[in-house]
Amino acid sequence: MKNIVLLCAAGMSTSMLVRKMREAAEQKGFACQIEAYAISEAARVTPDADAILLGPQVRFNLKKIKEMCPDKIVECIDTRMYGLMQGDKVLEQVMDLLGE
Amino acid sequence: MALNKDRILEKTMNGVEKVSNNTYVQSVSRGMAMVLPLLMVGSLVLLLTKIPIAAWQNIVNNTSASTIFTMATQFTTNLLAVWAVFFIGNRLGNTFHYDGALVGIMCLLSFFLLTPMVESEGTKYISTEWLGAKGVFVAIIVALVIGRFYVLIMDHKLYIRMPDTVPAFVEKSFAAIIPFFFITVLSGVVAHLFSLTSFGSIHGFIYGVLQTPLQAIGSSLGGVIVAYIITNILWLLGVHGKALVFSVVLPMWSAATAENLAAAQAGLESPHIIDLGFTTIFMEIGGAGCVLALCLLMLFTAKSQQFKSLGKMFFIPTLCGISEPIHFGTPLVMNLKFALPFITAPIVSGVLGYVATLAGLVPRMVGTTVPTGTPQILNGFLIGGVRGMIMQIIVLVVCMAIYYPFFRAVDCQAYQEEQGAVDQAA
Repeated sequence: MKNIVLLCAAGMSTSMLVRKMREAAEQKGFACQIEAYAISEAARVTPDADAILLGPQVRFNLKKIKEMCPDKIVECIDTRMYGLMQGDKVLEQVMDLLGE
Repeated sequence: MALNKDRILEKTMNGVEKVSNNTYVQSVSRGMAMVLPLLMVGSLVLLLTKIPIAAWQNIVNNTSASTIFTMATQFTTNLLAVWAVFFIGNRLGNTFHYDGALVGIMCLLSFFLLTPMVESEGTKYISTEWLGAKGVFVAIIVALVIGRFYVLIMDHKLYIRMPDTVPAFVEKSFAAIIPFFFITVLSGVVAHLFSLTSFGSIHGFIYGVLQTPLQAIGSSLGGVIVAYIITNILWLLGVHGKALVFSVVLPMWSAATAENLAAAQAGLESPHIIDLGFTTIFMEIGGAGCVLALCLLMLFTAKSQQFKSLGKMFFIPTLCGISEPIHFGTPLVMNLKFALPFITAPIVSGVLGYVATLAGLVPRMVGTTVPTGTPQILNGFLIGGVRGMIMQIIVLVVCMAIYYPFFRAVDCQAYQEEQGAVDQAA
C-alpha cells in the first residue's frame, strides 16, 4: 500500500483535493493512503511517505523538501489541476510517478 | 518578455523561500499561530456575554456568570505575551532539535524575570500590565534571544554530563541546570539594568521605543493597505502571500486585537479601528483579493458555460474563505487580466470599512476573531454585528462592481470561443 502525502499552507484546501483523490483511487482499485498536512509538519510526516506532493501555493518549499527527502518522489501539483480540484488527474500523475 | 517574467518569478520565489524558511521568522509565525486559538476563546467568551437577549443579560449581570466570563478573558487574551513567549521559544527549540517544552519554559522564566513586580501590603505581585498585548514584542525578543542562547549553550556542550550508567531522564534534568543558571542570571542582570533607567523595565523601553511606533504604523490604514498589496501581489505570483506577510504583521495585529478586546471588556471604546476582525471582514472577503465578489459574478452573470460551472464549483469553498480553488482554477495567478481588480478591490473595500467606522456607521471592532472557514457574511455578523454585516455586504457589492468589467471581458471571450466551437462542430 502506497502512502501519499500532500502538503500546503494550512492543510485546508488540500484536504478537499485529498477527498477527490481518494474517490478516484477507490474507483481505480488503487490501494493507497492519502493525507493532507500543513507544510510545517513536513519533517514529521514525510519519513513514511512514498510520494510527496506540494500544493502550488507553497511550491517555493520544493527545494527544501527535496533535500529533506532525497530518495523520495517530491513533486508540485499542477496549478490548474489543483484549482479545479481534479483529484483523478492528480492521482494519475502520482501513479505514473510511482510506476503503478 | 517571457524570459523576463520567468526571471522575476524565480527571483521572487528565491526571496520568499529565504524569508519563509528563516528559522526566526518561522518560530515567530508558528508560535503566534498557536496563540490565536487562545485569542479566539477570549473573544468568543466576550461575545457570549454580549448576546442581546434580556433573560440572558439578566443572568450575566446578576450572577457570578460574569465573573467566570471575565476570568476566561483574563487568562487567555490578557496573558497573550505569556503564551506567545512560550510557544515561540518552543517552536525555536524544536527547529534546532532540542526539547521544545524546555526551551519554552526557559524563555518564560526569563520573561517573568524581566517583568517588574509590584509590592502591596507586604505581598509581591507580577503586574498583568505587561503580560497581555503590551508585552508581545518583549515576548518575541525574549523567546528568540533566550531560545537561541540556550541552543548556543547546548551546542557547545556546556552542561553537566553524567556517566553512561545514569538513566537518561536524570541526565536530562542535570543538563538543564547550567542553561537555567545562565539564563536566570543574565535575565536578572538585564532586568536590574533596565530598572536603573527612566524606562523602569525592558517592557517600558521596548513598548515605548519599538512596539508603539511599529504598531501605530502596522495597524494604520496605510500599513494595512501596504501589507495587503504585498500579500496579493505574492498571491498573483502563485505564492501563499498571507502565510508570509502575516509572519511580520501578526504580532502587531494580534496585539491590537487583544487591546481592543480588553477595552471592550472594560466597557471602554476600542483604541484601534483596524484589528484582525476588521481585516477578516473587509480586506479578504472570500480570501485574498476579495474573490467572493468574482465568484458571485461567475455564478450570476457568466454567459459562458465554462465560468458558470466554475462559479458553482468555487462557491462553497470561497464562501468559507478557502480561496485556493478560485485562485488556481480560474486562474487568477499569473493572469494579468485579473491583476488590477485583485489588488484594488481589497484596498477599496478596506478604505470603505475604515471610513464607515470613522463616520460611526459601523461600530468599532471589539477584538472579535473567528476561526478560518467561518462563512463570509456570518463572520461579518459575528465580528461587526448587524451593522458590520450590512457594511460587509455593501463592500462586497462594490467589489463585484470593480471585478465586473474585467470579468465580462474574459467571460465574453470564453463565450465566443464556446460558440465558435459549437459552430465548427455544426
